Amino acid sequence: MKKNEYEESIAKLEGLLKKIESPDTSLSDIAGDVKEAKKLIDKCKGMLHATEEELDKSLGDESEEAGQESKEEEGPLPF
Amino acid sequence: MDNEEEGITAAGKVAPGDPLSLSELLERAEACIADEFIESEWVVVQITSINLNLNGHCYMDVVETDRRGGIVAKAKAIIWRGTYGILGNAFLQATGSPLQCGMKVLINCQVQFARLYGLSLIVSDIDPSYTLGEAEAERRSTIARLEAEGLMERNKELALPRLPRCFAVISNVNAAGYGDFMKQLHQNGLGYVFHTELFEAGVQGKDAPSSMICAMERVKEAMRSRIMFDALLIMRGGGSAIDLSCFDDYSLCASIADFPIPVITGVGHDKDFHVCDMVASVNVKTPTAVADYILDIYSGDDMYLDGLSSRLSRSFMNKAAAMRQQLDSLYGRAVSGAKMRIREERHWLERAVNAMKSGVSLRLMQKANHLDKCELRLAANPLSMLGRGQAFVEGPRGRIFGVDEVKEGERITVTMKDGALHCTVNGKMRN
Repeated sequence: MKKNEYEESIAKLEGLLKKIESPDTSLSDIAGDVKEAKKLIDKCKGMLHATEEELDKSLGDESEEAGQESKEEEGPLPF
Repeated sequence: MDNEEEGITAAGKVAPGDPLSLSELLERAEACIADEFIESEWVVVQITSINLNLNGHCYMDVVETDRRGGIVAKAKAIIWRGTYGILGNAFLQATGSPLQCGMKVLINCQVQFARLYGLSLIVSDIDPSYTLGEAEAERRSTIARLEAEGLMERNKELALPRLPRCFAVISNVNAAGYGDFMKQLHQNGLGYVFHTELFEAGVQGKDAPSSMICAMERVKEAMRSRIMFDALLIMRGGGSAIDLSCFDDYSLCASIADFPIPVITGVGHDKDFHVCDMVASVNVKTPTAVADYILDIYSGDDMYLDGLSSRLSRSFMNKAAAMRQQLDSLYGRAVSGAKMRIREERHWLERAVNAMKSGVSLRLMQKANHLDKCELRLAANPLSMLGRGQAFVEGPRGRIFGVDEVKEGERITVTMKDGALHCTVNGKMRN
């Protein structure tokens, strides 16, 4: 994921939602905007999910290692 | 010249008319002496020569000397064979020494004058205690003189090297004491090696002091030219009091006192103690004891070094043990400290991870909530309303939400879920 890609997507989504909600927006435009907004929402959800998974994986490894090392705490030092 | 005639002598005197014959003269002398010396007399004499003839008679030359050693009187003394057998043995038993040159003796003698042999002292008795007493008197005189001259302690002021190894020896090669000393010192069985050099001298009799003094001069000469001795050893084995009396001689003792290196004496037996022993730097009882004294120095140093070695070894081991213990303690502290530190860091990390997880979860949740809200907003878009039966009206100016936004006669579009109606506004009616 590129840096700030999520934030850019959110900003774009916000823009689209405001446009959709605006009474000045024509209905013909709304359909395209809704479609694009839906894509953006799905994309952001996907990025959040991926991030969560990745963090779970990283922090989950850390926790496992910490648990493992705690068990090894009473052993001899390497020097 | 006729004896009956008077004449003038070589000395200018008038010669006697009826001179005596020699025999007549000596006869008259003999008679005078016999009359004068009816009884025997006790006389103090110094023996200058003594000769035991083959016939067993003892012939001596005896003198009297003044303080400077000059002879002031002289005579012959005879001990007849029978008498000599008794007196000689008695003297030997009492003094431990036979009659010999240099001795001062108290004799009981009969003054005899014989025409053929001249004046003789016929010895009938000897007082050995006088000779012993004379030796003691000389000894005391020597001590007093040395004390007056400040010589008693002089040689003692010289320090013996810590480990003396090189010695000049004044003794006699034939003396048993010398042989005993050499054997004891050089065959010590302890591995100590010494250098000894003999400067031979007489160690008995009236010439012994001068002989030893000459030997001491030779030692000094050797030290000046080729070798530095650590000490001078003067030794002789046991003997009678008279034999050893030479070691009370003033000149010998003064030379010892003034000697440039420490002097160690080992004279006689255990009971003997002479003036030379008093002035020497060190005195021991016998020649063998001299060797033992030197060996003891080395043994003592060996023991001292062994002691130091043991102390060093013990100290080192104690130190090593203490250092090992300290190291173990430090290691233990390091290990427990490191482990504690690691535990603390790990706990911090765990807390950080947990905090990070919480923070991240919160952020993600917030973003998910936001997306949910966006989705709800999207779900509420106008197009989704068409499915619920609603329609959207658009005019020439955009979407129309009220009747006032459109004029009569304008065209509007009504979008419904399945299509759109293009309409014209024919009239308006308010609710």
